[in-house]
Parts: sequence; C-alpha cells; structure tokens
Amino acid sequence: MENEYMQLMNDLINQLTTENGIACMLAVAFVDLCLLIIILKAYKEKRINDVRWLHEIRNYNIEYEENLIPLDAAEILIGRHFAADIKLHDASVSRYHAIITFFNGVISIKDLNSKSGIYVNGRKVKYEILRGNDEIKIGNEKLIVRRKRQV
Amino acid sequence: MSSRNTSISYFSVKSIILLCHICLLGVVFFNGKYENITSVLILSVIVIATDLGYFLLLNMISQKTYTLDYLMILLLNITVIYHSCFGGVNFATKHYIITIIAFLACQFSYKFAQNPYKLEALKKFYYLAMVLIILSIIFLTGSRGIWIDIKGLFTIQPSELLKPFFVLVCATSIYFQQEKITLFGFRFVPDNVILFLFAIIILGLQWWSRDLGSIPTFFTVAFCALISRIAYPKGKLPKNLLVTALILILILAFIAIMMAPAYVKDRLFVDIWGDMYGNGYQQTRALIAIAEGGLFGKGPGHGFLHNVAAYQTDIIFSTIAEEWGLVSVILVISIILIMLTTALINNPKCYYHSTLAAGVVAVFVVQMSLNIFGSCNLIPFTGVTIPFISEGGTSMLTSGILLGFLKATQTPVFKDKPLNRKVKK
Repeated sequence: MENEYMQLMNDLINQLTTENGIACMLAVAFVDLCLLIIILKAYKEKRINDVRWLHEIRNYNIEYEENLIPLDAAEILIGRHFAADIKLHDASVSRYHAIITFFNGVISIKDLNSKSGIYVNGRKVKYEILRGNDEIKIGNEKLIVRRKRQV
Repeated sequence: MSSRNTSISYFSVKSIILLCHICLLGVVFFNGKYENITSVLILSVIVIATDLGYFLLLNMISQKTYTLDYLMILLLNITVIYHSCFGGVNFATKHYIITIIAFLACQFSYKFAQNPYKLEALKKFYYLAMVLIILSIIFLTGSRGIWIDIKGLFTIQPSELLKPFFVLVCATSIYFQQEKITLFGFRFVPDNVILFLFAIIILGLQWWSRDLGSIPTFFTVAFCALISRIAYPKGKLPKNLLVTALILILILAFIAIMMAPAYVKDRLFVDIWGDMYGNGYQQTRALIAIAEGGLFGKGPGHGFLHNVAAYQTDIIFSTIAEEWGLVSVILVISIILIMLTTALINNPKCYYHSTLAAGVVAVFVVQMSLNIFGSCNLIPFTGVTIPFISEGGTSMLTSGILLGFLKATQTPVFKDKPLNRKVKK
C-alpha cells in the first residue's frame, strides 16, 4: 500500500518536473490568478456602479415609519405581498399595489390596478412623477420621498 | 478615451490574460505534436494579435463593467488554441471565424438588450420569431433531423436559434404579471399562458424531431420561468409549491423514460464495457481518454480521441482532458461558471433583466452539465454542446447572443435617446 502511494507520488513529481509540466503549471497558475483578479475587479466595478447608481437616482430615498428605504433598483414594488420591496402590513393595501420606477432620469410612481388607489400630496393619481418631500398615501399608510445622502 | 468613465485600471487583467495565452502556447511549443514550427508560430501570432486587438477595441468602448469581456477573450482564445491542436498543430480557421462571429453576436445582443423597457415592448416579435423558427423546424428539417442544409455551404440547427428567443419569452416583468384578462369566466395572465403553450409546443416538437438532447435545456428554462413567476416579485419561494413542482418533474421524467423510443432506452441501460465496440464505443473511449490524460495531459496533439466521431462536440470534455489534462479542462469550465456568477456580483436592476439572466444561466449550466456528465458516463450521451468550447457555428452564435444578454443585465440603460441628446447640449 505504502509502495503504491510512493509510486504515485514519484509519477506525479516526474510529470511536474518536465518542461511540459512546468509550462502546464504556469498556465494553470496564470489562469487561476487571472480569474481571481477578474473577480476582484468585478467587486470593484460593483462598488463604483453602486455609487454611480446613487448619483443617477439623485440620492432619493423613501421614508416609511422613520426608516429610510434606499431605491437600489429601477423597479420597487409596494404592497402587502410578503416579497414586496416596501412591505406595508395594512389591510387597506393591495398585495401588488404600486410600483416606483426609475426611467429617463425621473422617478415615478404607478398604480398597479389597486383597490384603494394612491394619493400623491393629497391628489388621487394613476401615474405621477415624484419629487423631494412628496407625500405618498397608500391605503392608510404614508410614505415620504426624501433626498438624502446615505451615510 | 474620454468616454471611459470607470476609474479602474485593467492593465493587470490584460497582461495576465496575455501571459495565460503565452503559457498555453509554450505548452504547445514544448510538448505539442507538430511537423513544422511555422504552424505554431502562425497560431501564436494570431492568438496574441487577437488579444491585443480586442484590448484596443475595449479601450474605445465605454461600459460599466468589463468583467465578461475579459473572461470571454480569455476563454475564446484558449478554445482557439485547443481546437488548433487536435491531432497535430494546425490553425483552426473555421473555429476562429466562428469565434469572431460569436464576439459580434455578443456585442449586438448586448446593445439590443440594454434597455429593459424597450426589450419588453418587443415581446410580440419574439413570439413571431419563435413561430417562424418552429415552422422552419416542421417543414425544413423533417421529423428525423435537426439540421437545415443551405446549398451545401453550411448547415443551421434551428432548434439552437430557438434558445435566445425562448429565454426572452421566459423573462417577465411586474407589468406583464399584472396584466390580467378574463376569457370564458377564467381570469389569467396572458404572458404565462402563452409561455406555457410555447413550452408544450417546443417540447412536443423536440420529441417529434427526435432532438431529445435539447429537451432538458428547454425544460429547465421553462421551469426557471415558472419559479420566477411563482416567486414573483423577489425570489422568495413558498416551499410547498417548490416541493410539488419537483415531485411533478420526477413523475414526468419517469413517464418520459418509460415512453422513450428504443434507441434512447438502449443508451440508458447499455453496459458500455460489455459492448466496447458497439453502442459503448464513444463512451468507453471518452472515459479511457480522461484517465490516460492524467493531471496535465499527454500533450497537445498526442491524443487518440480525435479519431473518434464527435470528438469536437459531444465528447470535447474528454478530448481536452486527454490532451491538456484534467486540471486545465476543469479550469476552463470554471471560467464559464465565473462568467455566470458575475450576474450575482453586479446584480440586475429590474425584474425583466433578472429573469432574463436566470434563463441564460439555466441554458449554460444545463448544456454544460449534460455534456460533461455524458463524457464521464454519469448519464447517456445527449449530443449537447458546451457553450463556447465545442465546435459548431449555431451553438457558438447562440452562446454569444445569450452572453450578450447577460452583459446587458449588468450594464442596463434606463434612458430613451431623445433625453440623452438634450443632456449633451
């Protein structure tokens, strides 16, 4: 058993110490290194992209019960559904109530055929462009649009 | 150059990609099977020139992420080197041309898919395209073939071209899911019903044209689409639904195996070592080749497997493992896997793009695993290609298009053109 093991090790060492083995190992090492560096770059790109995204949406946040919810995607679903981005527990809110979208540099809210509708600054709307300090009323819940830099 | 707005330097990535390729060419030089040194020189010059040209090209394009581009050049030039070395060093012109076509397809579909809302709006045309392709399969390939021959110049596999459109149809958005219509007292989402019909038609068509290898790919993409609709909108899944779906799939798979045609059953239950020169020929050779290759391979061109049928497509995993070793083939596979995981690092910003990315990942992973497990005799041969590694024009083209979609999900544009012009003034 031990002899077989030694034989295997010897074979491996013989394979590795030829010119071909060294070139192979170098190639493998470089591909590994390359993958590692590319992954690191991807994380760096992500950090820069996140900052750029905040700049693009001009640091808008949604304030709900004194918590700031960042707009980290171009589509934010508001509703009673357990997987909604902004979850409102009130029974007056539909499961898929409204959606906040970011397009053409503008943040807007759109009604998704909800039962109780949405009110922006006291006015019932189907679609409305949002600005800083706008007050959105959904059912009995209140959301406020804030322009604040996240710390 | 001023349009490049990332402040990251990619010099280290570029130089290491070049070093990778030079090392692989070094392996060819030291241990390759060639009669004339010029063939190695030609290969080296073309590979390095492609690298440098591509880097120059990337400098001129402004993108938010470059990860996929660099991974793609790394992978594709490695495959050019591999394909040039099967059975002796000889530059693989055909594979090189297909590679360039894949690059172009990737860039084109990336530009096309960048704006998710525009992409959504065109969904009717994807249905139309799918109908056209399905009709071409029915009338042009016949019931027992999967190829269309165009005047003997080249052949097209229409079922491959179906994949990008199917992925586009499988992707959905919150708007599509909220659009409900009532017909005959039933209230349903038209998007889901059309997808379901298409999935049934395609699976039936694959069964009819005996293209059984593609069934798992389409089935998985459809299953991914189903999950993304159940888990809508944000990937949280009710567990009992998932369990029910999995049990249903198992039952379906069992029925499919029971009803499979005779030649499929032969492949499923064949004793390959007892039938080494008959049904088990390819598979036994593939297994022996992997074992003979060892860790670092016999050397480029010294393999035996290039004498076996389908060495560049169905058993490419074994062919590379024999000539270059198990380590390098696993590395190449991991390059593709890392390509797919970049979607997790730089996650998509909207629902249509994220479901699109899920579909692309499903296609790639299923095709790769079918091919690799087939080569390792864990499952029977399916004749499915590994994206980007196997030879084959249509497969390469669709892989390029799908990768372009993945790239687009990471660099989305939420702008229409008119506003862009105003900003520039």
